[in-house]
Amino acid sequence: MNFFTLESSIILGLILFAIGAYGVISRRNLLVVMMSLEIMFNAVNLILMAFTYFNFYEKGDQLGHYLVLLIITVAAAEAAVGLAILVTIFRNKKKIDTDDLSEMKG
Amino acid sequence: MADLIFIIPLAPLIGFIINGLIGKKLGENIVGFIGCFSIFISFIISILALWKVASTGEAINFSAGLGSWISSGGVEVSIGFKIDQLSAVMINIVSGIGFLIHVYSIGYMKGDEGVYKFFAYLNLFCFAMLILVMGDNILLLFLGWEGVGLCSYLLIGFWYKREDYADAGKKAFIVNRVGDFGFLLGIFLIIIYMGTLDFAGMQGWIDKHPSEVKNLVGSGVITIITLLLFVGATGKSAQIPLYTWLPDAMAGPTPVSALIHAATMVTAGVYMIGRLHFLFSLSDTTMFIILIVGAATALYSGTIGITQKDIKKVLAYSTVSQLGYMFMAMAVGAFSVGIFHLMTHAFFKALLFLSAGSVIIATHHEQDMDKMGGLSKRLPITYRAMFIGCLALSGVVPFISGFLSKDLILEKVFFGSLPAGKLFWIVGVMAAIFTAFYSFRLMGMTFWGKTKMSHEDYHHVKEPHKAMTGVLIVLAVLSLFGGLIGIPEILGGANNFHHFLTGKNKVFTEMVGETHHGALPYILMIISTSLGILFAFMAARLYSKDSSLPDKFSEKGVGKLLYTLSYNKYYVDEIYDIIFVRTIVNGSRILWKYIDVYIIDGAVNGIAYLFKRVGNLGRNLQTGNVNSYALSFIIGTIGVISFLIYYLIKSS
Amino acid sequence: MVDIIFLICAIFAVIFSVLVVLMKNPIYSSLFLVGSFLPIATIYILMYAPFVAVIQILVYAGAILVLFTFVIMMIDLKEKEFKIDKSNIYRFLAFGVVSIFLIIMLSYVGFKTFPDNKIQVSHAKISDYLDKKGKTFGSTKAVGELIFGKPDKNPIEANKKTMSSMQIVSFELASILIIVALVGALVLGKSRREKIK
Repeated sequence: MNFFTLESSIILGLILFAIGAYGVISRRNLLVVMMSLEIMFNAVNLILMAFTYFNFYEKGDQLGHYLVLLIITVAAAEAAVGLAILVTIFRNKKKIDTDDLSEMKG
Repeated sequence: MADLIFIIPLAPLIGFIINGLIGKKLGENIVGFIGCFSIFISFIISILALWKVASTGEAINFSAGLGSWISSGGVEVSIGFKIDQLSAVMINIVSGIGFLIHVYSIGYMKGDEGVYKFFAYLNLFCFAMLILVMGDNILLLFLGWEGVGLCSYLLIGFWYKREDYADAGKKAFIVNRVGDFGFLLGIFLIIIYMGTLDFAGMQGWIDKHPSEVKNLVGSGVITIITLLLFVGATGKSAQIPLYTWLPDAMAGPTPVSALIHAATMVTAGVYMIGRLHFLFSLSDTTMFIILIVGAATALYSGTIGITQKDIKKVLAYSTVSQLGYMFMAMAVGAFSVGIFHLMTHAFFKALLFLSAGSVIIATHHEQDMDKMGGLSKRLPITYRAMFIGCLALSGVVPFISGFLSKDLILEKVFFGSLPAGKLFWIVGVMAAIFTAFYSFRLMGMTFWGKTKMSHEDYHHVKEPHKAMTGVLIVLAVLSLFGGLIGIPEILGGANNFHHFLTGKNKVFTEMVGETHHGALPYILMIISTSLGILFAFMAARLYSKDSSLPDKFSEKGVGKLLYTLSYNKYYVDEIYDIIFVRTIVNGSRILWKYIDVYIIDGAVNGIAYLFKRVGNLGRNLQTGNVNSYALSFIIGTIGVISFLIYYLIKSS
Repeated sequence: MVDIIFLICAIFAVIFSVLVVLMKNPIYSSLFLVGSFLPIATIYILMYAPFVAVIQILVYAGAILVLFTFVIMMIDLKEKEFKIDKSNIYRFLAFGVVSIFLIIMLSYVGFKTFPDNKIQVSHAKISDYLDKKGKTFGSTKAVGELIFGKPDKNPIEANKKTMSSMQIVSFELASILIIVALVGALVLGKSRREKIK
């Protein structure tokens, strides 16, 4: 049984993306939300890599890999800044629960 | 000459503007002077115009040169004045009597805090009335019509601080308005069928399209038009059924009653019929209806006048009655006779009202005749003036102005071409009887017999200001001798008035052709005059000698019924209130409470409420919760992706 | 062989990701996140992309997750503050939305017949090709050449020639981005003594 195909890689990526989306929407702890965000990044990278590999033919090149590298870079930067913001929030409000952080009334 | 015509209405307009704007600062005397002077200028020019028209027999036309005033749908109306014989007579009446009343008002309104307003309104009224009689198209006539209605409202409710006076003003305006509605409908029909509003244009249209005219007459359109116009006339000239405002209008100052409700405004309806005689003479039905209404009004208001206690109300009902006479004359086609009676009535009715005003001022605003009596010794000039006025009104003295015009009317009605002329003559004579009765009842209760005033009040009564008494003298002279220009041939005169109006330029083409009937006219004249003298004498005796006969008559039985009906004006005001006023008020209340509050406000408020609810729902999108925002992202992403997928599937 | 490795890695990745999302203790979540990265890296290696795999481990697991751990330790949530997420309404909404997403995408992927696409080749052929031809597909050298262009053998001319590849721009921009993020994180993270109790 041939498991390692483009199709199954895409399916894997989608499942991971969905799991990450579930985490972002559902969890109230901001740290876990950011981790679920990383899962989503991962899923996207996986799909990109799958496409660059399985669409490779003689004239193709590794631009997909380069894009994945850039995405990882951006994810790192975003994680850094996001965590810094989270730390600031924690310093100001002493909690990182999204429900308690919401200041809307009614 | 033609260029000076515009000064006639312009002078009182300028007087109105000056008095209205800066009158408060000018002081009583200057305001009075400006008011009288402006009318005097109009009067001088009116006399000049009359002289010119009389000598040349040609009408003076004046066009304002402002281009067309209204030009729409093929109807073009421009501002222009036309002084023909009829207008010449009218402008002289208006400005002459107006001038006299302005002079009188200087004395009457002395010390009143709103005297500048009074003269301003009086001037405005004269302006509007002059426009009414001088306009060469129906629209200008209607403009003046509405203007005098407005001034009537302003002047009746002049002492606005009393609520019943203000209500009287409103009543006058509203009842007038009902008539004006009919008038407007008539104008609209004229536009539809004749396409022009010019008097000359209308007459020309009728002359040029005889077959069409026959069609219109046959199909009743002309009758409808003239009836609608007549409805307007009943409103303005206080005939049945729209007369109820005139007795209440006595709430205004007496000069107002004299000018507006005796001499000029109420005669606008008569003038209108005279102006449009060519229309009215086409429809026999309308003329007959006018005759019926005029006769009925004349008799009906006479029966009310004999029991009224307020001196001015007697005169008010007398005005309504005399207007009925004028309409009777117009109805049988004797247009010049109607205008003649208009003129003489202006003289003696103004005289009567101004004398009554003099009495009122002298007795310190006492208007109830029950409380007067025996004033002839204290107020000699006023007494004599009023006596002359009553003689003219009842027409009991031959060759006095009222006698001539009234008898002419009765004669024309009797010999007229309308059916049942004899019957209407009888009605007219009965109305004359009542007229004589109430006028001499008034004299008896006010001037003769023993006084009912307290001793010291009685000795405080003295002749008022010279301005007032001077005017009374002038008007008395006019009442005595003013009719002489219209003496008919059968009495030996040359009837200049009649020929003036029907002569060279044929202002009127009269419908009555029969003039000579041997001795019959003389017999009729003698009958009516002697009946009048008889009843006048009866009234004088009954009411001056302290006889309790009138009171005994009205205490029980038939007498009581008749007295109650007459004294309460046949409860017409109450009937109108129930039928018209209450239904409108209740209908409005229903419209307000249910339609306006529930439906319209509900709809508008409901829309606002709807938006509020939707907004409330939409508010829930903003939760401030990061998770919900992420949810929105994902939902959006799903939307976009499914969109893309859909297109991918479609294209492959 | 490759298929089995891929399958095992896939299963582990999914299980670890699910555990990340479901754990109450954030430290556990971060550990499982690391566990989720490793199978992914393995799959990258299977795809003849060793460079990216290594970068993934270094950057993601080595830097980002370390950062996460530091922050978790700094936040120092107590045991009792691990909120119970069961009473969250977003759980249901998330479940619904995610399932819709999966249904749409998976059905699209499932119904589209990939083998018809001429571009795609199976792994066996690619790997054969890459092994036989000796091409270095995803190696570091290949990626470096991708970014900076092919090196010139002649050293003198190599100095003169400017780097003329498009990817340079994005490379430089990425570095600027990193510097900006660094500065931003520094500014935001600066401890304000007056605020810390």
